[in-house]
Amino acid sequence: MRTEIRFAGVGSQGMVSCSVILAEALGIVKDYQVVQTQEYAASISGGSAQGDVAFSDQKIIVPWVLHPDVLVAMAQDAVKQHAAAMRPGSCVIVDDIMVNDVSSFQKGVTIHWAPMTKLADDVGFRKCANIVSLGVFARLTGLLTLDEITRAVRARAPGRAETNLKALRLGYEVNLGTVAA
Amino acid sequence: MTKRLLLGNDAFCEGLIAGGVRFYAGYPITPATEIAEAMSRRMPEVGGTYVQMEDELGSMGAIMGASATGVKSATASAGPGMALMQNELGQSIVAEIPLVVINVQRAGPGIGNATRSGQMEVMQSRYGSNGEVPAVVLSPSSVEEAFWLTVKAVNFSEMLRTVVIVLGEGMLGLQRAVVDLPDYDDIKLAERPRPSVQPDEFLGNYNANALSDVPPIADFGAGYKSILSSVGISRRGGGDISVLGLSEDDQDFTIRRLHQKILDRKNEITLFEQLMTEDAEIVYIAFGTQALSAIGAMHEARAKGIKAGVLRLITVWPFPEDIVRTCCAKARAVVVPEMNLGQVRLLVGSALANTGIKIVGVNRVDSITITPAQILEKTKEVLS
Repeated sequence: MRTEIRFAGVGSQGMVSCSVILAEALGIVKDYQVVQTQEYAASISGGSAQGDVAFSDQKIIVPWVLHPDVLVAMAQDAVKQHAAAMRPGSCVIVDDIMVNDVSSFQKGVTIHWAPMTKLADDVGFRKCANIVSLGVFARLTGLLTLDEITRAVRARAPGRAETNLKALRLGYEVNLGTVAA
Repeated sequence: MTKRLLLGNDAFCEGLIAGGVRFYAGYPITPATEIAEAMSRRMPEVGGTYVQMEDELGSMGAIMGASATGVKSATASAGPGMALMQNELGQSIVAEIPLVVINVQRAGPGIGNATRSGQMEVMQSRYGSNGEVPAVVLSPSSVEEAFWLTVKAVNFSEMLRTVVIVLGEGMLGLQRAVVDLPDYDDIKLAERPRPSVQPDEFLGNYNANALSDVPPIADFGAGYKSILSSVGISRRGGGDISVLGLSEDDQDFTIRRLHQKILDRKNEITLFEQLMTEDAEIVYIAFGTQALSAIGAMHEARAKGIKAGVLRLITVWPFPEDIVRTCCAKARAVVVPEMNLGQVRLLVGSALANTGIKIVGVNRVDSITITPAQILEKTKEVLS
Protein backbone atom coordinates (compact mmCIF):
# COMPACT_ATOMS: atom_id res chain seq x y z
CA MET A 1 0.00 0.00 0.00
CA ARG A 2 1.21 3.48 -0.85
CA THR A 3 1.70 6.02 1.92
CA GLU A 4 2.62 9.69 1.54
CA ILE A 5 4.44 11.83 4.10
CA ARG A 6 5.22 15.55 4.00
CA PHE A 7 7.53 17.59 6.22
CA ALA A 8 6.83 21.30 5.81
CA GLY A 9 8.19 24.44 7.37
CA VAL A 10 10.45 27.29 6.38
CA GLY A 11 13.92 27.06 4.85
CA SER A 12 16.66 26.24 7.43
CA GLN A 13 14.31 24.21 9.67
CA GLY A 14 15.64 21.04 8.06
CA MET A 15 12.44 19.79 6.45
CA VAL A 16 14.18 18.42 3.36
CA SER A 17 16.74 16.72 5.63
CA CYS A 18 13.88 15.11 7.53
CA SER A 19 12.49 13.63 4.35
CA VAL A 20 15.91 12.32 3.33
CA ILE A 21 16.45 10.63 6.71
CA LEU A 22 12.97 9.12 6.61
CA ALA A 23 13.54 7.88 3.04
CA GLU A 24 16.79 6.28 4.19
CA ALA A 25 14.99 4.61 7.11
CA LEU A 26 12.12 3.29 5.01
CA GLY A 27 14.12 2.40 1.91
CA ILE A 28 17.41 1.11 3.28
CA VAL A 29 16.89 0.21 6.97
CA LYS A 30 13.46 -1.23 6.14
CA ASP A 31 12.93 -2.57 2.65
CA TYR A 32 10.20 -0.39 1.17
CA GLN A 33 10.14 1.17 -2.29
CA VAL A 34 10.76 4.86 -1.63
CA VAL A 35 10.85 8.12 -3.55
CA GLN A 36 11.83 11.38 -1.86
CA THR A 37 11.10 14.73 -3.49
CA GLN A 38 11.50 18.30 -2.34
CA GLU A 39 10.42 21.85 -3.01
CA TYR A 40 11.91 25.01 -1.65
CA ALA A 41 11.75 28.67 -2.51
CA ALA A 42 14.68 30.46 -4.15
CA SER A 43 15.06 32.54 -0.98
CA ILE A 44 16.04 29.21 0.68
CA SER A 45 16.49 30.40 4.29
CA GLY A 46 13.13 31.62 5.53
CA GLY A 47 11.21 30.73 2.37
CA SER A 48 8.77 27.85 2.19
CA ALA A 49 10.39 24.42 2.28
CA GLN A 50 9.00 20.92 2.07
CA GLY A 51 10.40 17.42 1.92
CA ASP A 52 8.13 14.62 0.69
CA VAL A 53 8.36 10.84 0.94
CA ALA A 54 6.19 8.31 -0.87
CA PHE A 55 6.70 4.68 0.10
CA SER A 56 5.09 1.40 -0.72
CA ASP A 57 5.66 -2.35 -0.71
CA GLN A 58 5.18 -2.17 -4.48
CA LYS A 59 6.85 -0.25 -7.27
CA ILE A 60 6.14 3.48 -7.06
CA ILE A 61 5.03 4.91 -10.39
CA VAL A 62 3.91 8.45 -9.58
CA PRO A 63 6.61 9.90 -7.31
CA TRP A 64 4.71 13.01 -6.23
CA VAL A 65 3.12 13.45 -2.84
CA LEU A 66 -0.26 15.00 -3.62
CA HIS A 67 -2.38 14.14 -0.57
CA PRO A 68 -0.18 13.36 2.43
CA ASP A 69 -1.34 10.69 4.85
CA VAL A 70 0.86 12.41 7.44
CA LEU A 71 1.91 16.05 7.45
CA VAL A 72 4.53 17.35 9.88
CA ALA A 73 4.05 21.13 10.04
CA MET A 74 6.77 23.16 11.72
CA ALA A 75 5.47 26.64 10.80
CA GLN A 76 2.15 28.45 10.53
CA ASP A 77 2.83 29.21 6.87
CA ALA A 78 3.21 25.49 6.24
CA VAL A 79 -0.25 24.87 7.68
CA LYS A 80 -1.66 27.57 5.47
CA GLN A 81 0.10 26.17 2.40
CA HIS A 82 -0.70 22.48 2.83
CA ALA A 83 -4.02 22.27 4.75
CA ALA A 84 -6.06 21.96 1.56
CA ALA A 85 -4.10 18.89 0.43
CA MET A 86 -5.05 16.95 3.58
CA ARG A 87 -7.99 14.59 3.27
CA PRO A 88 -10.24 13.14 5.99
CA GLY A 89 -8.49 10.22 7.68
CA SER A 90 -5.06 11.81 7.38
CA CYS A 91 -3.15 13.18 10.32
CA VAL A 92 -1.04 16.22 11.09
CA ILE A 93 1.74 16.69 13.62
CA VAL A 94 2.05 20.39 14.40
CA ASP A 95 4.68 22.20 16.42
CA ASP A 96 2.99 23.71 19.47
CA ILE A 97 5.13 26.85 19.48
CA MET A 98 5.47 27.61 15.75
CA VAL A 99 1.84 26.83 14.88
CA ASN A 100 -1.19 28.28 16.66
CA ASP A 101 -4.07 28.09 14.19
CA VAL A 102 -5.20 24.78 12.69
CA SER A 103 -8.70 25.86 11.72
CA SER A 104 -7.90 25.50 8.01
CA PHE A 105 -7.85 21.69 8.14
CA GLN A 106 -11.07 20.05 7.09
CA LYS A 107 -13.11 17.76 9.37
CA GLY A 108 -11.74 14.27 9.74
CA VAL A 109 -8.08 15.30 9.87
CA THR A 110 -6.52 14.33 13.20
CA ILE A 111 -4.22 16.91 14.71
CA HIS A 112 -1.43 16.07 17.12
CA TRP A 113 0.24 18.94 18.96
CA ALA A 114 3.87 18.15 19.74
CA PRO A 115 6.47 20.26 21.59
CA MET A 116 9.17 19.73 18.96
CA THR A 117 10.79 23.15 19.09
CA LYS A 118 10.52 23.16 22.89
CA LEU A 119 12.27 19.78 23.20
CA ALA A 120 14.98 20.93 20.81
CA ASP A 121 15.49 23.96 23.06
CA ASP A 122 15.75 21.57 26.02
CA VAL A 123 18.56 19.78 24.21
CA GLY A 124 20.15 23.17 23.72
CA PHE A 125 19.98 23.34 19.90
CA ARG A 126 16.76 24.58 18.30
CA LYS A 127 17.80 23.46 14.84
CA CYS A 128 17.38 19.81 15.83
CA ALA A 129 13.62 20.29 16.18
CA ASN A 130 13.41 18.47 12.86
CA ILE A 131 15.10 15.42 14.39
CA VAL A 132 12.66 15.60 17.31
CA SER A 133 9.85 15.52 14.75
CA LEU A 134 11.27 12.31 13.26
CA GLY A 135 11.12 10.71 16.70
CA VAL A 136 7.52 11.86 17.17
CA PHE A 137 6.65 10.62 13.68
CA ALA A 138 8.22 7.19 14.20
CA ARG A 139 6.42 6.58 17.48
CA LEU A 140 3.07 7.97 16.40
CA THR A 141 2.86 6.06 13.13
CA GLY A 142 4.51 2.92 14.47
CA LEU A 143 6.35 2.66 11.16
CA LEU A 144 9.83 2.59 12.67
CA THR A 145 11.33 1.53 15.97
CA LEU A 146 13.64 3.90 17.79
CA ASP A 147 16.55 1.72 16.71
CA GLU A 148 15.52 1.83 13.02
CA ILE A 149 15.12 5.60 12.85
CA THR A 150 18.34 5.99 14.85
CA ARG A 151 20.26 4.05 12.20
CA ALA A 152 18.94 6.37 9.49
CA VAL A 153 19.81 9.51 11.50
CA ARG A 154 23.33 8.18 12.03
CA ALA A 155 23.70 7.46 8.31
CA ARG A 156 22.31 10.73 7.00
CA ALA A 157 23.11 13.24 9.77
CA PRO A 158 26.43 12.09 11.23
CA GLY A 159 27.36 15.54 12.55
CA ARG A 160 26.28 16.47 16.12
CA ALA A 161 25.41 12.81 16.63
CA GLU A 162 25.02 13.05 20.38
CA THR A 163 22.67 16.04 20.22
CA ASN A 164 20.67 14.54 17.38
CA LEU A 165 20.21 11.18 19.03
CA LYS A 166 19.15 12.82 22.28
CA ALA A 167 16.62 14.93 20.36
CA LEU A 168 15.38 11.85 18.50
CA ARG A 169 14.82 9.95 21.75
CA LEU A 170 12.98 12.89 23.36
CA GLY A 171 10.70 13.04 20.33
CA TYR A 172 10.11 9.30 20.40
CA GLU A 173 9.12 9.37 24.07
CA VAL A 174 6.92 12.48 24.04
CA ASN A 175 3.26 12.46 25.09
CA LEU A 176 1.09 14.10 22.46
CA GLY A 177 -1.89 16.34 22.82
CA THR A 178 -4.35 15.09 20.21
CA VAL A 179 -7.47 16.75 18.90
CA ALA A 180 -9.77 16.12 15.97
CA ALA A 181 -10.22 18.91 13.46
CA MET B 1 24.79 -4.49 -6.93
CA THR B 2 24.74 -1.86 -4.20
CA LYS B 3 21.41 -0.61 -2.88
CA ARG B 4 21.53 3.11 -2.15
CA LEU B 5 19.19 6.01 -1.58
CA LEU B 6 20.50 8.01 -4.51
CA LEU B 7 19.95 11.66 -5.47
CA GLY B 8 18.98 12.17 -9.11
CA ASN B 9 21.95 14.46 -9.70
CA ASP B 10 24.24 11.82 -8.17
CA ALA B 11 22.69 9.27 -10.54
CA PHE B 12 23.69 11.51 -13.47
CA CYS B 13 27.21 11.71 -12.03
CA GLU B 14 27.49 7.95 -11.56
CA GLY B 15 26.08 7.37 -15.04
CA LEU B 16 28.82 9.54 -16.51
CA ILE B 17 31.48 7.64 -14.58
CA ALA B 18 30.02 4.23 -15.45
CA GLY B 19 29.89 5.39 -19.08
CA GLY B 20 33.62 6.03 -18.97
CA VAL B 21 33.73 9.82 -18.58
CA ARG B 22 37.06 10.83 -17.05
CA PHE B 23 37.03 14.59 -17.63
CA TYR B 24 34.45 16.97 -16.26
CA ALA B 25 34.59 20.75 -16.40
CA GLY B 26 31.75 22.55 -14.73
CA TYR B 27 30.25 25.69 -13.36
CA PRO B 28 27.63 25.38 -10.62
CA ILE B 29 24.01 26.28 -11.24
CA THR B 30 20.85 25.30 -9.39
CA PRO B 31 19.36 22.72 -9.83
CA ALA B 32 22.37 20.98 -11.44
CA THR B 33 25.04 21.94 -8.88
CA GLU B 34 25.15 18.55 -7.16
CA ILE B 35 26.47 17.00 -10.38
CA ALA B 36 29.53 19.26 -10.30
CA GLU B 37 29.91 18.67 -6.57
CA ALA B 38 29.77 14.92 -6.98
CA MET B 39 32.12 14.94 -9.96
CA SER B 40 34.67 17.05 -8.07
CA ARG B 41 34.73 14.32 -5.43
CA ARG B 42 34.46 11.30 -7.73
CA MET B 43 36.76 12.22 -10.63
CA PRO B 44 39.98 11.99 -8.56
CA GLU B 45 38.73 8.68 -7.11
CA VAL B 46 38.47 7.09 -10.57
CA GLY B 47 41.63 8.62 -12.02
CA GLY B 48 39.79 11.37 -13.87
CA THR B 49 40.05 15.16 -13.88
CA TYR B 50 37.62 17.74 -12.56
CA VAL B 51 38.07 21.40 -13.44
CA GLN B 52 36.07 24.16 -11.81
CA MET B 53 35.56 26.67 -14.63
CA GLU B 54 34.90 30.39 -14.61
CA ASP B 55 31.64 30.03 -16.53
CA GLU B 56 29.66 27.78 -18.85
CA LEU B 57 31.54 28.87 -21.98
CA GLY B 58 34.73 27.81 -20.28
CA SER B 59 33.19 24.48 -19.34
CA MET B 60 32.27 23.72 -22.93
CA GLY B 61 35.66 24.83 -24.26
CA ALA B 62 37.45 22.67 -21.73
CA ILE B 63 35.47 19.52 -22.47
CA MET B 64 35.83 20.05 -26.24
CA GLY B 65 39.59 20.09 -25.82
CA ALA B 66 39.64 17.18 -23.41
CA SER B 67 37.50 14.99 -25.64
CA ALA B 68 39.81 15.82 -28.59
CA THR B 69 42.58 14.04 -26.69
CA GLY B 70 40.41 10.92 -26.57
CA VAL B 71 39.11 11.22 -23.01
CA LYS B 72 35.35 10.91 -22.65
CA SER B 73 34.18 14.29 -21.35
CA ALA B 74 31.04 15.89 -20.00
CA THR B 75 29.49 18.88 -18.29
CA ALA B 76 26.11 19.80 -16.81
CA SER B 77 24.09 22.96 -16.45
CA ALA B 78 20.58 24.42 -16.39
CA GLY B 79 18.63 26.82 -18.63
CA PRO B 80 20.68 30.03 -18.46
CA GLY B 81 23.93 28.05 -18.66
CA MET B 82 22.60 26.04 -21.58
CA ALA B 83 21.78 29.30 -23.35
CA LEU B 84 25.38 30.42 -22.93
CA MET B 85 26.68 27.08 -24.21
CA GLN B 86 24.84 27.13 -27.53
CA ASN B 87 27.79 28.42 -29.54
CA GLU B 88 30.17 25.68 -28.37
CA LEU B 89 27.42 23.07 -28.52
CA GLY B 90 26.93 23.76 -32.21
CA GLN B 91 30.66 23.87 -32.82
CA SER B 92 31.16 20.51 -31.10
CA ILE B 93 28.40 18.94 -33.19
CA VAL B 94 29.88 20.16 -36.50
CA ALA B 95 33.45 19.41 -35.38
CA GLU B 96 32.08 15.96 -34.47
CA ILE B 97 33.55 15.91 -30.97
CA PRO B 98 31.84 13.32 -28.74
CA LEU B 99 30.46 14.99 -25.60
CA VAL B 100 27.67 14.60 -23.08
CA VAL B 101 25.90 17.65 -21.70
CA ILE B 102 23.30 17.25 -18.96
CA ASN B 103 20.63 19.91 -18.69
CA VAL B 104 18.80 19.80 -15.36
CA GLN B 105 15.98 22.09 -16.43
CA ARG B 106 14.81 24.83 -14.13
CA ALA B 107 11.65 26.83 -14.78
CA GLY B 108 11.11 29.91 -16.84
CA PRO B 109 12.90 32.12 -19.34
CA GLY B 110 15.83 34.40 -18.58
CA ILE B 111 17.34 33.57 -15.22
CA GLY B 112 14.06 31.84 -14.44
CA ASN B 113 13.18 30.33 -11.10
CA ALA B 114 16.32 28.57 -9.94
CA THR B 115 14.86 26.13 -7.44
CA ARG B 116 11.80 25.23 -9.49
CA SER B 117 11.45 22.67 -12.21
CA GLY B 118 10.30 22.77 -15.81
CA GLN B 119 10.39 21.08 -19.23
CA MET B 120 10.87 24.17 -21.33
CA GLU B 121 14.00 23.28 -23.28
CA VAL B 122 12.76 20.65 -25.72
CA MET B 123 13.09 23.06 -28.62
CA GLN B 124 16.22 24.77 -27.33
CA SER B 125 17.94 21.37 -27.24
CA ARG B 126 17.21 20.92 -30.93
CA TYR B 127 17.23 24.42 -32.38
CA GLY B 128 19.36 26.41 -29.94
CA SER B 129 22.46 26.53 -32.14
CA ASN B 130 22.89 28.19 -35.48
CA GLY B 131 23.23 26.58 -38.87
CA GLU B 132 21.05 23.47 -39.07
CA VAL B 133 22.80 21.20 -36.61
CA PRO B 134 21.20 17.92 -35.55
CA ALA B 135 20.53 16.92 -31.95
CA VAL B 136 20.45 13.73 -29.94
CA VAL B 137 18.47 14.27 -26.74
CA LEU B 138 17.51 11.69 -24.12
CA SER B 139 15.13 12.32 -21.24
CA PRO B 140 14.93 10.13 -18.11
CA SER B 141 11.84 9.83 -15.91
CA SER B 142 13.28 8.32 -12.75
CA VAL B 143 16.47 8.33 -10.69
CA GLU B 144 17.37 4.82 -11.81
CA GLU B 145 16.80 5.75 -15.43
CA ALA B 146 18.92 8.89 -14.96
CA PHE B 147 21.83 6.54 -14.30
CA TRP B 148 21.27 4.14 -17.18
CA LEU B 149 20.35 6.77 -19.71
CA THR B 150 23.47 8.78 -18.93
CA VAL B 151 25.56 5.66 -19.61
CA LYS B 152 23.71 5.33 -22.92
CA ALA B 153 24.28 9.02 -23.67
CA VAL B 154 28.04 8.53 -23.37
CA ASN B 155 27.85 5.46 -25.62
CA PHE B 156 25.71 7.23 -28.24
CA SER B 157 28.03 10.26 -28.25
CA GLU B 158 30.99 8.00 -28.99
CA MET B 159 29.19 5.88 -31.56
CA LEU B 160 27.88 8.93 -33.45
CA ARG B 161 30.76 11.35 -32.83
CA THR B 162 28.34 13.97 -31.65
CA VAL B 163 27.02 15.80 -28.60
CA VAL B 164 24.28 14.02 -26.66
CA ILE B 165 22.14 16.11 -24.35
CA VAL B 166 20.54 14.43 -21.35
CA LEU B 167 17.42 16.46 -20.66
CA GLY B 168 16.83 16.25 -16.93
CA GLU B 169 14.58 18.33 -14.72
CA GLY B 170 14.98 20.00 -11.34
CA MET B 171 12.34 17.72 -9.86
CA LEU B 172 14.35 14.70 -11.00
CA GLY B 173 17.83 16.03 -10.18
CA LEU B 174 16.70 16.81 -6.65
CA GLN B 175 14.72 13.61 -6.15
CA ARG B 176 15.98 10.56 -4.28
CA ALA B 177 15.06 6.93 -4.79
CA VAL B 178 16.42 3.55 -3.77
CA VAL B 179 18.53 2.31 -6.64
CA ASP B 180 20.60 -0.83 -7.18
CA LEU B 181 23.74 0.31 -8.97
CA PRO B 182 25.53 -2.38 -10.99
CA ASP B 183 29.21 -3.20 -11.04
CA TYR B 184 30.50 -0.68 -13.57
CA ASP B 185 32.95 -3.19 -15.01
CA ASP B 186 29.97 -5.20 -16.29
CA ILE B 187 28.64 -2.33 -18.40
CA LYS B 188 29.30 -2.45 -22.13
CA LEU B 189 30.90 0.76 -23.36
CA ALA B 190 31.18 2.19 -26.86
CA GLU B 191 34.30 3.83 -28.25
CA ARG B 192 34.55 6.42 -31.01
CA PRO B 193 35.95 5.16 -34.32
CA ARG B 194 39.73 5.72 -34.39
CA PRO B 195 42.11 5.53 -37.38
CA SER B 196 43.08 2.05 -38.54
CA VAL B 197 45.82 3.44 -40.81
CA GLN B 198 49.32 4.70 -40.05
CA PRO B 199 49.71 8.44 -39.37
CA ASP B 200 51.21 9.16 -42.82
CA GLU B 201 48.16 7.60 -44.52
CA PHE B 202 45.62 9.42 -42.36
CA LEU B 203 43.33 11.71 -44.36
CA GLY B 204 42.12 13.72 -41.39
CA ASN B 205 39.18 13.56 -39.03
CA TYR B 206 36.52 14.10 -41.72
CA ASN B 207 37.27 11.34 -44.18
CA ALA B 208 33.68 10.49 -45.10
CA ASN B 209 32.40 9.27 -48.45
CA ALA B 210 28.82 8.26 -47.67
CA LEU B 211 26.16 10.27 -45.90
CA SER B 212 25.90 7.68 -43.14
CA ASP B 213 29.65 7.68 -42.39
CA VAL B 214 30.97 8.40 -38.92
CA PRO B 215 34.63 8.98 -39.85
CA PRO B 216 37.51 7.92 -37.58
CA ILE B 217 38.88 10.58 -35.26
CA ALA B 218 42.52 10.65 -34.12
CA ASP B 219 43.26 11.58 -30.53
CA PHE B 220 45.37 14.71 -30.12
CA GLY B 221 48.84 13.60 -29.15
CA ALA B 222 48.57 10.15 -30.71
CA GLY B 223 50.96 10.96 -33.56
CA TYR B 224 48.38 11.76 -36.20
CA LYS B 225 47.80 15.08 -37.91
CA SER B 226 44.52 15.59 -36.11
CA ILE B 227 42.65 18.80 -36.83
CA LEU B 228 39.14 19.45 -35.58
CA SER B 229 37.18 22.09 -37.43
CA SER B 230 34.22 24.03 -36.20
CA VAL B 231 33.74 25.52 -39.67
CA GLY B 232 31.06 22.95 -40.29
CA ILE B 233 32.08 22.24 -43.86
CA SER B 234 34.59 19.56 -44.77
CA ARG B 235 35.78 17.96 -47.98
CA ARG B 236 34.11 14.78 -49.15
CA GLY B 237 36.75 12.09 -48.89
CA GLY B 238 38.74 13.92 -46.23
CA GLY B 239 42.00 15.78 -46.62
CA ASP B 240 42.53 19.53 -46.38
CA ILE B 241 39.76 21.15 -44.38
CA SER B 242 40.53 24.82 -44.97
CA VAL B 243 37.43 26.68 -46.09
CA LEU B 244 39.15 28.01 -49.19
CA GLY B 245 38.52 25.70 -52.07
CA LEU B 246 35.54 23.93 -50.56
CA SER B 247 32.71 23.51 -53.02
CA GLU B 248 28.95 23.79 -52.79
CA ASP B 249 28.94 20.01 -53.00
CA ASP B 250 31.23 19.77 -49.96
CA GLN B 251 28.90 22.03 -48.00
CA ASP B 252 25.82 20.12 -49.03
CA PHE B 253 27.47 16.80 -48.26
CA THR B 254 28.72 17.89 -44.83
CA ILE B 255 25.46 19.32 -43.58
CA ARG B 256 23.41 16.40 -44.84
CA ARG B 257 25.89 13.89 -43.43
CA LEU B 258 25.79 15.44 -39.93
CA HIS B 259 22.08 14.59 -39.89
CA GLN B 260 22.14 11.38 -41.87
CA LYS B 261 24.80 9.67 -39.74
CA ILE B 262 22.32 10.02 -36.85
CA LEU B 263 19.12 9.23 -38.79
CA ASP B 264 20.65 6.07 -40.26
CA ARG B 265 21.13 4.84 -36.69
CA LYS B 266 17.75 6.04 -35.47
CA ASN B 267 16.56 2.54 -34.61
CA GLU B 268 19.49 2.05 -32.27
CA ILE B 269 19.06 5.36 -30.48
CA THR B 270 15.27 5.68 -30.36
CA LEU B 271 14.26 4.62 -26.87
CA PHE B 272 10.67 4.64 -25.70
CA GLU B 273 8.21 2.87 -23.44
CA GLN B 274 4.87 1.85 -24.83
CA LEU B 275 2.11 0.85 -22.38
CA MET B 276 -1.30 -0.54 -23.37
CA THR B 277 -1.33 1.33 -26.67
CA GLU B 278 -2.48 -1.67 -28.74
CA ASP B 279 -6.19 -1.05 -28.16
CA ALA B 280 -5.94 2.51 -26.81
CA GLU B 281 -8.55 4.97 -27.95
CA ILE B 282 -6.74 7.66 -26.04
CA VAL B 283 -2.95 7.84 -25.89
CA TYR B 284 -0.96 9.97 -23.47
CA ILE B 285 2.37 11.04 -24.97
CA ALA B 286 4.83 12.45 -22.46
CA PHE B 287 8.50 12.58 -21.52
CA GLY B 288 10.62 13.00 -18.40
CA THR B 289 8.96 13.19 -15.01
CA GLN B 290 5.57 14.07 -16.41
CA ALA B 291 5.36 10.72 -18.17
CA LEU B 292 4.95 9.18 -14.71
CA SER B 293 1.82 11.21 -14.09
CA ALA B 294 0.62 10.01 -17.50
CA ILE B 295 1.19 6.38 -16.48
CA GLY B 296 -0.67 7.02 -13.22
CA ALA B 297 -3.55 8.53 -15.21
CA MET B 298 -3.55 5.55 -17.57
CA HIS B 299 -4.05 3.10 -14.69
CA GLU B 300 -6.86 5.22 -13.26
CA ALA B 301 -8.49 5.53 -16.69
CA ARG B 302 -8.31 1.78 -17.31
CA ALA B 303 -9.90 1.18 -13.89
CA LYS B 304 -12.81 3.34 -15.08
CA GLY B 305 -13.11 1.37 -18.31
CA ILE B 306 -11.43 3.96 -20.55
CA LYS B 307 -9.02 2.41 -23.04
CA ALA B 308 -5.99 4.57 -22.35
CA GLY B 309 -2.37 3.97 -23.26
CA VAL B 310 0.95 5.72 -22.80
CA LEU B 311 3.85 6.45 -25.10
CA ARG B 312 6.75 7.58 -22.94
CA LEU B 313 9.36 9.29 -25.08
CA ILE B 314 12.84 8.54 -23.77
CA THR B 315 14.64 9.70 -26.91
CA VAL B 316 13.14 13.12 -27.57
CA TRP B 317 15.42 13.99 -30.52
CA PRO B 318 15.53 12.76 -33.19
CA PHE B 319 11.76 12.91 -32.64
CA PRO B 320 10.27 9.45 -33.25
CA GLU B 321 7.34 10.36 -35.56
CA ASP B 322 6.99 6.75 -36.76
CA ILE B 323 6.66 5.43 -33.19
CA VAL B 324 4.05 8.11 -32.44
CA ARG B 325 2.04 7.02 -35.48
CA THR B 326 2.29 3.32 -34.59
CA CYS B 327 1.20 3.89 -30.99
CA CYS B 328 -1.76 5.99 -32.05
CA ALA B 329 -3.05 3.58 -34.70
CA LYS B 330 -6.34 3.01 -32.85
CA ALA B 331 -6.50 6.37 -31.08
CA ARG B 332 -9.33 8.86 -31.32
CA ALA B 333 -7.43 11.37 -29.26
CA VAL B 334 -3.99 12.12 -27.88
CA VAL B 335 -3.25 14.05 -24.69
CA VAL B 336 0.22 15.53 -24.29
CA PRO B 337 0.96 16.56 -20.70
CA GLU B 338 4.12 18.65 -20.41
CA MET B 339 5.50 21.40 -18.20
CA ASN B 340 5.71 23.94 -21.01
CA LEU B 341 3.15 25.51 -23.33
CA GLY B 342 3.09 22.69 -25.86
CA GLN B 343 6.51 21.98 -27.36
CA VAL B 344 6.05 18.21 -27.70
CA ARG B 345 2.40 18.68 -28.64
CA LEU B 346 3.61 20.59 -31.70
CA LEU B 347 5.80 17.64 -32.74
CA VAL B 348 3.04 15.11 -32.10
CA GLY B 349 0.73 17.27 -34.21
CA SER B 350 3.20 17.16 -37.04
CA ALA B 351 3.63 13.38 -36.73
CA LEU B 352 -0.13 12.82 -36.77
CA ALA B 353 -0.98 15.38 -39.44
CA ASN B 354 -4.00 14.45 -41.57
CA THR B 355 -4.96 11.49 -39.36
CA GLY B 356 -7.99 13.22 -37.85
CA ILE B 357 -6.80 12.33 -34.36
CA LYS B 358 -7.64 15.06 -31.85
CA ILE B 359 -4.53 16.33 -30.08
CA VAL B 360 -4.75 18.34 -26.88
CA GLY B 361 -2.25 19.38 -24.23
CA VAL B 362 -2.21 19.59 -20.47
CA ASN B 363 0.27 22.33 -19.82
CA ARG B 364 1.68 23.84 -16.66
CA VAL B 365 4.38 26.47 -16.38
CA ASP B 366 4.05 27.13 -12.64
CA SER B 367 6.61 24.43 -11.71
CA ILE B 368 3.92 22.31 -10.09
CA THR B 369 3.65 18.79 -11.43
CA ILE B 370 0.74 17.82 -13.63
CA THR B 371 -1.32 15.30 -11.67
CA PRO B 372 -2.94 12.12 -12.97
CA ALA B 373 -6.28 13.72 -12.01
CA GLN B 374 -5.68 16.63 -14.37
CA ILE B 375 -4.88 14.27 -17.23
CA LEU B 376 -8.03 12.27 -16.47
CA GLU B 377 -10.11 15.42 -16.48
CA LYS B 378 -8.76 16.31 -19.91
CA THR B 379 -9.43 12.73 -21.05
CA LYS B 380 -13.10 12.96 -20.16
CA GLU B 381 -13.33 16.35 -21.85
CA VAL B 382 -11.74 15.17 -25.07
CA LEU B 383 -13.68 11.88 -25.30
CA SER B 384 -17.07 13.46 -24.54
